[in-house]
Amino acid sequence: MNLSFGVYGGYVWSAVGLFVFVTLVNLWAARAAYSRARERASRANANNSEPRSP
Amino acid sequence: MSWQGLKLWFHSLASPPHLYRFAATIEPWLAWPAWILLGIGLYAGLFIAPADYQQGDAFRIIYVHVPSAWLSMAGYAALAVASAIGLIWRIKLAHWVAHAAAPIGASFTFLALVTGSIWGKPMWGAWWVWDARLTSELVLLFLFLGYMALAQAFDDPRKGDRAAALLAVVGVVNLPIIKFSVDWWSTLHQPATIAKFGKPSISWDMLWPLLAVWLGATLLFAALTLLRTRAIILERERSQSWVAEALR
Repeated sequence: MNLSFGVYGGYVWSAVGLFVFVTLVNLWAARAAYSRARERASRANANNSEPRSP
Repeated sequence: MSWQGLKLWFHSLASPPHLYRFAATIEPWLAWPAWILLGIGLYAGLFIAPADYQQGDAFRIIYVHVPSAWLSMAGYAALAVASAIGLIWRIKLAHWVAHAAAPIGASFTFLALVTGSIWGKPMWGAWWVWDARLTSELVLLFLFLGYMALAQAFDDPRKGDRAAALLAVVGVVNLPIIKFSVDWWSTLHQPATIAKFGKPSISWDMLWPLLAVWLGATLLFAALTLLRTRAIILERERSQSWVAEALR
């Protein structure tokens, strides 16, 4: 298996590394947005279901 | 399923609770094949596909550049279609799907520009040229960023939805410019290699890993858009009673 790709190794690995990094950041950001929204919705629902004082 | 049943099912997707549950069901079926295809495609592209007779190993950048460029345009087309549906039929969920797709589309546009630049340096001798294809792709990135900024620029989120949707629909004019720029003008960027109606000018040994990465990245785009759409639904509908049930 040739891992160096000759004189172009730096270019190939930079491009592939960046692609993998941005893809993983995308996944992390989407999951973080969902967790945040879920937490806020849970809090909002907890506040709504609390008994109100007369 | 009958035609009437299909129509009913499609209309039911305009209901936030229904889309929220539908997205949760379908998401893993998109995400897992996406990761597997991306893994296989990248491995085969880097280590199995033969080197190009002219470009040598530098050609392997195609396995990340072309899927990114495809998703930048397909992502924008999806965003524009969703925006048009939101504007014409006033379906708020369509705007939310467009909001969900925007940051993912922007990130792939960024990837297309940067990986293209990394490929351009050894092949053209320059990181960047003001070529029609590169410039129109850069305009696409600005359209994505403008869309996201405009959607957040209003106190009333519905106004933001409509203003951003209008920009998205107008911006569609850039897509044929990107696609045909290499035919209309004399550009440094090469013309179509794969998306030809005749025989693609790339051998099968090199093509199949590219198709695997392309399909994997497309499925991942869809899975991430659905996840972000679910987040937006929860944000906007959090005071609704169905959300409490869905979160249990």
